[in-house]
Amino acid sequence: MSQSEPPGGVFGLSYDGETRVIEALKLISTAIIVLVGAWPIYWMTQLAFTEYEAVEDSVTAFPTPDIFTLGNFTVLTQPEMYTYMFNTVVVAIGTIVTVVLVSLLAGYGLARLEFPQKENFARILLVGYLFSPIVIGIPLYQIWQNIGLLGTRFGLIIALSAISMPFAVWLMWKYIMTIPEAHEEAAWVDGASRWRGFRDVIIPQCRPAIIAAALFAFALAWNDFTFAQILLPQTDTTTFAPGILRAMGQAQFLPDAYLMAISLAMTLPPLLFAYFMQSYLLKGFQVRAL
Amino acid sequence: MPDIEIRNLTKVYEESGNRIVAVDDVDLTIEDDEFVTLVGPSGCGKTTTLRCVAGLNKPTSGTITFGDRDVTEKPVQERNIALLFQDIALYPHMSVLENMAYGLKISGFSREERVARVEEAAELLQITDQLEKMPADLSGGQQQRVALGRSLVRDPEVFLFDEPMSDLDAKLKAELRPVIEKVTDEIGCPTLYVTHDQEEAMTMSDRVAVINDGKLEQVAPPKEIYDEPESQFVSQFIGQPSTQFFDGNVRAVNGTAELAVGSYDYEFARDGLEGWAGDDVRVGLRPQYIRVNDDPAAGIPATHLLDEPLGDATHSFFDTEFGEIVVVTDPDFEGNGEQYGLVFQDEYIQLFDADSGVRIA
Amino acid sequence: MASETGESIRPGRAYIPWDDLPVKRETVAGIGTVLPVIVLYVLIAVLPIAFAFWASLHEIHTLNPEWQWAGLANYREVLNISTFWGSLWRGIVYMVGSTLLQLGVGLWMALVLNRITRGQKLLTAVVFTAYLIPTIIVSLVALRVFDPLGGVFQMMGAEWFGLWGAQTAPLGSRDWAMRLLILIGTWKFAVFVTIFTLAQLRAIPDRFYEAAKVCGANRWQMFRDITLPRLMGIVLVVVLLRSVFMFNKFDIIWQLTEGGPGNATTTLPVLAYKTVYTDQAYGLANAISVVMFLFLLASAIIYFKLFNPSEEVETTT
Repeated sequence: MSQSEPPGGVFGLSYDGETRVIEALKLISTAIIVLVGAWPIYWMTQLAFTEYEAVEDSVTAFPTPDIFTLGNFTVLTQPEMYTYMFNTVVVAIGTIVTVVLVSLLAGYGLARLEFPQKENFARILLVGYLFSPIVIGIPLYQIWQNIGLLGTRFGLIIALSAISMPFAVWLMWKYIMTIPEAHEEAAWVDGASRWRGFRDVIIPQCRPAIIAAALFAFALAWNDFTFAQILLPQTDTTTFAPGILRAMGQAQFLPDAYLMAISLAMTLPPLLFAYFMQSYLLKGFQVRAL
Repeated sequence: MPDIEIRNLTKVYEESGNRIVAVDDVDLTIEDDEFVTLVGPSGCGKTTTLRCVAGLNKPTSGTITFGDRDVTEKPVQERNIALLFQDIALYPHMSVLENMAYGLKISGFSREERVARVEEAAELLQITDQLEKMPADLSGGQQQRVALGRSLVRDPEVFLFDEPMSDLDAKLKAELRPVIEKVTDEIGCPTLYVTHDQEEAMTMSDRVAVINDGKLEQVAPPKEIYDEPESQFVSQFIGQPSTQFFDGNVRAVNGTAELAVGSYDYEFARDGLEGWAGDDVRVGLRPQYIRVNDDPAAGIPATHLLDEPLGDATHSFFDTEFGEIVVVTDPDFEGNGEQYGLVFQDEYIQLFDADSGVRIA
Repeated sequence: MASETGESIRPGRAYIPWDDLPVKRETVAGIGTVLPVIVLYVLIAVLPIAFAFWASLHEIHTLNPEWQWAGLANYREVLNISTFWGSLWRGIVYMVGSTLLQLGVGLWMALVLNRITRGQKLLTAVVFTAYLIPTIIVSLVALRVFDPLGGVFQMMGAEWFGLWGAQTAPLGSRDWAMRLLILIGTWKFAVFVTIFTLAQLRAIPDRFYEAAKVCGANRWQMFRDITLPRLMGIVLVVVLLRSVFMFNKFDIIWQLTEGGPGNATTTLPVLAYKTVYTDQAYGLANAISVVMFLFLLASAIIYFKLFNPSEEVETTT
């Protein structure tokens, strides 16, 4: 880097100068990303702790002691809010369990067993990325009504699981392929059946992939609005996203500060996951299976 | 304890219309307590043979029996074998103790008994202080010991090795060889050891089976394989540096045989050459049985190329009319690129059929 | 030992004569493992789309499921109503605007994340948060900050930059609703681009850059000659996926504007939804669904031309 050459960098800068410019740009970029990325979360949090009259009347950037309150969080104790959150949690857990079980099984089959049309199955699997909740939801509304799944959490779990499949199965498939076959063969030599080998040797080693798939399924279920809006039409049995939107339209008294408080409560689980499960997430996404 | 009998074992792979014969009509018996090494170049079918014996691959035809038990159709789980894999294949999520006890756990042994057996094996393998560690924290040699222990505790009927040391360095290999022999002696069952490393084959085996292109070339004790190879392939594959070959012609056979190698004639006593008079043959000779004479006219004319001094001997390379020839010379030998004559030690000459490579004399 | 594993001892499973059956045991097991996925796909994709097509040929009232055969009348109606073409046009504007913006921002974030040395953990957490945070919460925050009553962005836009009047609700203004929808969507969805491209960036070995440095390449040349060619394939896939997703986007639009003001942000998904619940015309809505499905199908075909699954499988390990 320190030879005396004519400057060869961008805009006639020396290589060192170029590096300095890039470093500076990187620093500025990082600052912008962190600010823009974290700002809405900060704003939501500070509003959640500000008295609701102050929120409606003026712009406040920080809940100073004279307007600070915890009172907004009483909204969480309202029965219908509680129902929405409970339903969301049930749907999220149901989706996670379904997705992990189904994708583990399918991933194993794709990675380890030979069967006809495997390649075509992989292609069809990827079509799942193009499933659009609105295109599918409208006909599904009548189908679910006819077979009695409309308005049930189970019906929503099935729909959400299906659209998680391309990511989850693809991820498991690729992940299991990185586990040497000899591990399983060693288990067979030790006398383990195929199922036992899968249970004792493959599943424990798939932990990062299982966590990544579970997180993805969680994000999808937690995030879902369209399917729940269509498939859980009864206001009192729906999940958080459509529930809160309907409550905003109908409720007599639902100030924005309350909405921020409940939003904060619903944001915390994904935030915590994002922070503590980061390495698993990255590992999962690095298999390039999104 | 039973023996292993492999009869007419053939394995054919069909891949997109291509028929690949990986193992071709192999017959091999491994006596109880015997250590047999299956050695050959990569892709010769040795691993496929082993996987058929293990039950991981299904043979196309032929039978495999352990003692009086026909296991050809039996799944691997029911064969009661031990197998050491090339990549060791310890379960990365289990501790050393759990790794070694897993087979016993499957067989339904109680926890106390599992631990007792594992500790006993660990002592023999000198890994008692490693039992709580995870495989990733062990060195390559220790991992091999654990894998051996995993097999040892199960007291298998048949012990199989699939190139277990191919990823280790030479020093570690030398250190582990006695351990493997100790373990196989301890279990005392028939052992089939697959390797591409002829040194491993020679040092550990009761008998060596050389396989090439899916076919068994020769099965014999190491010394016999080395001294009396039955084919040109065996002669070339076993021994380092390998046997040197020359084109020759049997001129006449009357009591002694007269052999022409290039422009040079040899006359030597050897039985079994009757009927070969006038035929072309391949002349094989181990490099240590070729002498270098300062007089180019004393033997096969050769131009010195280079020396590789090893300390206790020197490998010298010569250019001859038969191509490049390696000779084991004195530690002090320095060729300096001059002309020499290569002289054979007659009694070590091996003669092979020029077409089939089968040993003649 | 030998006696323990003698011929007579077989596991106590029912005997299935696999050798006599026309299918191999492994085939049955293999198909068995993917069967749940197939069932889910049939239930959630094949069945609804077949149903939508069948329903689109009928006149159906949403709350009164009495089907009247209508043939292609719904399609004729779809293509004739002005809201359809308007929605299609707005959908394309929304799709193109969103995709381009998300691609730019997402790529920029990926490049920064790839080269950053300090604070990577925090930055990655921030980026993933946007991915994991529910859309409804993004919408709630957006509704708050663009509210004329105490909304900070509304205030800033009105008083600092003079973009809109002090009493105007930007999300309810014809000028701003669509632009803000695109901007707010970008905050949440640009991360998608980042995740895809970041994985690809990390897969470029350092030795390529080192070799280029030895040859005297500057940063721009390295980016142009090494980074960009490597990214092209994945960028095409991402652009396609993002376009499809944004074209089908319903949740964030409905939450922020419900397609308004007027029809200013009504795209095809919003139109389909309104047709079901506001106009109660279920058959007609299904016809719109089918039209959107055809768009998806065309995209799927392009998708496979770009993104060959079997190739992906081979590059796994």
